[in-house]
Amino acid sequence: MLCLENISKSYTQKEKVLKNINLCLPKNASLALVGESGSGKSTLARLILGLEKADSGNISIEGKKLKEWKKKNKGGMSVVFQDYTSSINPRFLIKDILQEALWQEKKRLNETELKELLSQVELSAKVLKSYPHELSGGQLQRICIARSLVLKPRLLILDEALSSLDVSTQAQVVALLKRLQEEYKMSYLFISHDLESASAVCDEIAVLYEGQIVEKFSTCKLKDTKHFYTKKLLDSIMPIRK
Amino acid sequence: MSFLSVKDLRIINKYTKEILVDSVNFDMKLGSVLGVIGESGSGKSLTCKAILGLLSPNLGYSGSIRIEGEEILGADEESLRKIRLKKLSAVFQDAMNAFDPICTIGSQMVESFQESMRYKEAKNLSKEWLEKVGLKESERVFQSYPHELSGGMLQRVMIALALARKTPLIIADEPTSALDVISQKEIIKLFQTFTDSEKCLIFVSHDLGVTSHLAKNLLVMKKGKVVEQGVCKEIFDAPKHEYTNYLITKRQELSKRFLECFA
Amino acid sequence: MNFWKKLLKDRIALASLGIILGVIFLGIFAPYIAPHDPLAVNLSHKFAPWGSEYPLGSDYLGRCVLSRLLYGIRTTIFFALLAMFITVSIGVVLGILAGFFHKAEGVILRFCDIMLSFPSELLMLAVVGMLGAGIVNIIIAHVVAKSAWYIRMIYSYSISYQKKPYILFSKTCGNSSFTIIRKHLLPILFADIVMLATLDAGGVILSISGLSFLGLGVQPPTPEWGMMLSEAKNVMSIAPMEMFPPGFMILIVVAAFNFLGDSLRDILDPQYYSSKAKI
Repeated sequence: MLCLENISKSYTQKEKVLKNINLCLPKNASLALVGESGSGKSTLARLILGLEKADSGNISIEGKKLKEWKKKNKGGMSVVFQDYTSSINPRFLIKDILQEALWQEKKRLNETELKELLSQVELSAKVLKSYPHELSGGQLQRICIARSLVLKPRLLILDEALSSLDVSTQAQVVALLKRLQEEYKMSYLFISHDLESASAVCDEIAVLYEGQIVEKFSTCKLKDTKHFYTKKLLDSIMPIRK
Repeated sequence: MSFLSVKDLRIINKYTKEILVDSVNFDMKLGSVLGVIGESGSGKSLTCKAILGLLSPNLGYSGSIRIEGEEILGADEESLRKIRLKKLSAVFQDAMNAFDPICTIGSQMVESFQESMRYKEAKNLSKEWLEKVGLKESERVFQSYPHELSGGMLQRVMIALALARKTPLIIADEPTSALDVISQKEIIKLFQTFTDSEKCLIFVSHDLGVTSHLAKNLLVMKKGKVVEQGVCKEIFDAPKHEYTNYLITKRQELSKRFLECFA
Repeated sequence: MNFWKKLLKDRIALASLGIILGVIFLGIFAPYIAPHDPLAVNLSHKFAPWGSEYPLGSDYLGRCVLSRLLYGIRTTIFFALLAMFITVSIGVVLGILAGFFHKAEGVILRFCDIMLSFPSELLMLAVVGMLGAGIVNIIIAHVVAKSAWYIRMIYSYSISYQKKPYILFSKTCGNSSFTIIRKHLLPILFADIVMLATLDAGGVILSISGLSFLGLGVQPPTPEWGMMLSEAKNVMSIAPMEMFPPGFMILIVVAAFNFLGDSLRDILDPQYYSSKAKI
């Protein structure tokens, strides 16, 4: 589905934020990219989305180069950001926010389709007439997810999408994401600093440390990891202590 | 005799008449760690602000909050200042915005101590505590501006400030929520190391996992009301209220796969 | 609380808005309200005291001061608003272009740098000096002198809004820059533009009046507040009261715009109200 070859990026002369990244995400799979703040995870997301250009290397989706693929596959890729309050224009009603993906094509979703979309993310049609500031964090993030599903993307990038939510809400959104992946047959790139939520959503995990992928393994092989940074991440997790 | 005593605390919005916190009752003795858990909007932060005497003027309140017998609610600014100086410290969630961006960390730390000591003493005290909270290059941190340090480092500076003042009551309102997991673990360790029989700590969080590693007693809040309170271990082993059970279940759902694959 | 509710609660803003709208209303209906023809010369009645025939007295040519003041609204305020409208439009178009399109950014910003290195009053005088006196040339001078400032302000706003995740999402959807500008940016900028314009309106009125005072603007006998002040200064020793009507009106209207602009800035700032009203 998605292939990154030798991707490098730097913002200043001194330091490279990403150094020779090589990564592949197969179709219908879920890959978590885990690393601390400042490790370059969000930069990688922006490169894949085409919002910024890499200094060197290739990004290809479904065998084609990123730019070409984007032109022919509008809406084939979508994103959910961390900060749900600034991910939505505060002046729009929810029902207008959900239409955004269709603006360019000058189409609109009708009432039934909107209700159907909201039920996919377990929200009632009541929220259509609300403004963003009237909804809770969990509800807003679900709206962001619903909005990204409109054009039926094949690749969904979740850039720390759970990090700002309450832990109990996180659990609900994780269940939602797993269900949607089955239904929409999407590939997920789940970016996070937390191995716990990453392992809850994804089957493969890649660890990003100081701009490089230092380890990649499948979730069930968590205990066999070798790199010191991965071990540090594992050690930092604090489930309920009985 | 309890150090902090909160009785029938009620906070309402004067204009909308909405009840934000209702009938909160708890006591704390020195040496205890109280975890306050609940989702966003449950009133946890408001309760902390009430104890610190920092409620906004549009909020009305009733009940009593006593620190060593002295009443906080409704006290005048001068008495509050004296209580805060000797007995209260706070660590807030958003360390990145808690510091003045145009002053160095050092000058802000020294400013907090200069009520009771000279500059040189204050500087030495600051550097000593910066080292104790794990910021080994204390001189460099002392001279830095807030934007030059990461979120984790700034949070440690806030904790250093709170601990260095040696106040008996420390209120930490979601101190690790804005940090990545590695920094979070280190901050929790710091709290574990420095809470002793001379201090009491109120630790507010929405994460039960983190709280369970630190708190001895627990206060579970939902929509402004306390739904369950008691000894942390007992509550986790056998929660009495369905909401507590819900929070525990959801937290365990999140850890499930991790524990399956890791154990 | 939405915008209008907040505005209604702010008494100073309400009063300023009332004054501005009242003055505009008087200007529009000047022919029906003014007691005399503003241009009617009546030398036998020059320097008439304030009374029932000449409510604010008459000037050195016997013309009714109140009538000249009312007709002067049309010249001073309406032309000021016209000048501001043209300047703001240029500012918005070029500012957004510079913010969104990297290639245009360099050219537009360098142009602004050059224009902003001249003191604006000097630039206005130079333009009027080259083109000659007259109200049209004052408007052109104002546009030339002030556009750069608006372009810069709108540019900085559009750059800051561009970093917001909802704009990034829009780009990911494949929406063109024009769609994003039209649907997201312009509605948000509108609030900022209104605030900037109201804060600046006072300055525009003062510029036009100032240039007219110097004899470079409106030509006699057209009534205009700045020119009325200039004429009053000539007769200051004989009839000192002549200065007050036009001077007072300029003061009131400019102050009203300034207070309104101030209040609008506070109302439109989400953090100001959240610190005052929220938990």
